[in-house]
Amino acid sequence: MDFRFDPETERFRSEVRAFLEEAMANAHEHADPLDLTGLDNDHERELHRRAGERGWLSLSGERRAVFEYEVARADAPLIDTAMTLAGHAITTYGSSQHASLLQQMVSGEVEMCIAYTEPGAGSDLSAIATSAVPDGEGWLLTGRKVLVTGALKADWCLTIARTESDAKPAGAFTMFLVDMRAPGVRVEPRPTMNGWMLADITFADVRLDAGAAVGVVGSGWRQLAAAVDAERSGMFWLGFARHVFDLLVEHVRVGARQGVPLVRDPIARDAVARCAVEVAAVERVSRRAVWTTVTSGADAALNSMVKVAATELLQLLAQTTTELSGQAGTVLASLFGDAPPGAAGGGRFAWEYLERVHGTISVGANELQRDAVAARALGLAGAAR
Amino acid sequence: MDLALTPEQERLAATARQAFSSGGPAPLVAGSLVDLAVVARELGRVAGDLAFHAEVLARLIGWNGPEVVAVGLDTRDGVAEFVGCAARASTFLLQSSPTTVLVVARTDVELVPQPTLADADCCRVTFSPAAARDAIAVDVAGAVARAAIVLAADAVGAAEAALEAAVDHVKARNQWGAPLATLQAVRHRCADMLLDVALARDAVFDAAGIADRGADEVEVRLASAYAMATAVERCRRVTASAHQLAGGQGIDAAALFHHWYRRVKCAESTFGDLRSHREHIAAALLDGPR
Repeated sequence: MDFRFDPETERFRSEVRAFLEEAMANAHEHADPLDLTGLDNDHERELHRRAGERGWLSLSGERRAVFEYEVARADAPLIDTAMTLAGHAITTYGSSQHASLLQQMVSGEVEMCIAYTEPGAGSDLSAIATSAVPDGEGWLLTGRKVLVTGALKADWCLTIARTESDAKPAGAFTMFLVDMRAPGVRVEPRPTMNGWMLADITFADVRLDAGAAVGVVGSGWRQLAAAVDAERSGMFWLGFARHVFDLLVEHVRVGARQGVPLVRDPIARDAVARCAVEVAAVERVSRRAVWTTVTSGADAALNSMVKVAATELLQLLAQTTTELSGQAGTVLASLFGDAPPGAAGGGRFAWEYLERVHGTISVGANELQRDAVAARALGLAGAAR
Repeated sequence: MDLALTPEQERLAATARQAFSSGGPAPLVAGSLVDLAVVARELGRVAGDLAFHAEVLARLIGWNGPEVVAVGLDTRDGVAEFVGCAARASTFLLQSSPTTVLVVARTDVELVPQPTLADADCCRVTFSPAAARDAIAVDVAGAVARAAIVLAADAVGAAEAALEAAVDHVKARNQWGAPLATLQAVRHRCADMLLDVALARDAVFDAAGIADRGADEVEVRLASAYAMATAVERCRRVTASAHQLAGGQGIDAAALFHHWYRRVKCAESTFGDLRSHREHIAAALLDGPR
């Protein structure tokens, strides 16, 4: 039983780290004034191209996991790349018409977003109302998608729409690739509680040609489920966790409370150890999920367990860091901005406290993940919710 | 990364399972830490005889005699407190310094019962160091760190079995015309239990693997602390949740639920308590050079 990545993968990790150290050194000069969690569009695209040149946007298996971990740990905007978001769908279901787009995705020359969620369809995506009706050789797309990550910077949008009005979910939906510059596509910024700039997208009679459909017409539901399962390795959460945990250790090493160094405070020491134990435990199960995917194919229940454990770990870290740093822990800075005086963790602890709210909600709320674990791993068939 | 048990380890698990289910002895009490963990996990599943752990620790200390042995670690002024399985032992290994363990015969000690939640044979052992037959020079902390990994594997087995029994119960038990398993509150508790078990199991086998591949003592002791801090807390929670799910049927003395529940509670304070494991981890992170 050995949880270590092999030496070759660790060498790759060092290579990625060295790249990120150099590439992110002047990140604060490129902070995006509109998106407090991001870098400006040009800088972000340059980073994507540089990663693409190295072949790092189309990694798989352990290398992909290590890449995502290091990228998250460095706060580099290389997680929601076109390949991460749409790579599975385009690779698996795309046709020859998508070959040049795929090439651009791999080389980091194109930005994409995925738009599934609607005002009336969040956890229950079967309620999706956006529709695509046949129109000559192509389709006419109408509807509204909300809370879309990266929509303001995206060139293309991967979305899902109802193509059979009455059918059950299994046959009702089709995946489409939409050019964000197409007439009828309107993008409205939607700032979130912690400075993310998400967006709502309205499709008003957007004309799509036949090639816009990705995969089989009517099979969008199955394709979407598979794409969501394959979206990320889960290791990126651990990269964030490691970053915050390192800040916590540093805070306790140098900080004080009412004149007493935190490093001599048994409660602070115990809190650090508790977090260390949890970070290590969740990192192990994340590695197990990666290893399982590589050796025998993805285990959906295991991936759900990773999602639950990792997103709740990040909330534990956010609570522990802010609790241990008192009022200084409530002083907020944006991700690449300057920290106000006295901000604990450089303002990161307060930011984490806001940022980690959405993790347990998005990409399948943790309640759905727990249901999936109960059903898939324990054979507990559920009733209607 | 290699996260599977080997076919040999799987066979060892099956052998141990068969032996313990018929009340037989453990197939081994010395060997690689992963092998010992494999056996201990099966022992925990059936809430089997805790004397296994005394014997494992005795071998790790370097004792090889055929007698039934008990090990006392909490020793001061000729009194060893909370010595597991002492009432049945014929030989006592009693720590007298961080690097010395005395070998004392049953005839040279006095026993006062200290029955614990899981061990009716636990005793206070009073002895005269002068009466020791022998003294073993050993790094006691290193032996205890390894025994703790094995004990944590026992807790994992207990938690796994408790989860399985609870899942069987909620599938079979009908209330309001449907199995309890259809209730989301029940399903979510089960999912959390599985997560606890999975994280505990990996912490234990990671630590066992680290010890087996000859990592330095600092790393082994740290891995042991992580294994105990992870496994004992999570497994204890699982055994408590299993009780909650099993309801009135689970509190029956003839049901196994309370044996798993007691066993993991006692593991929590054996070979160091949770606070000491976490303090060990905190010291490694906070007190050394960066």
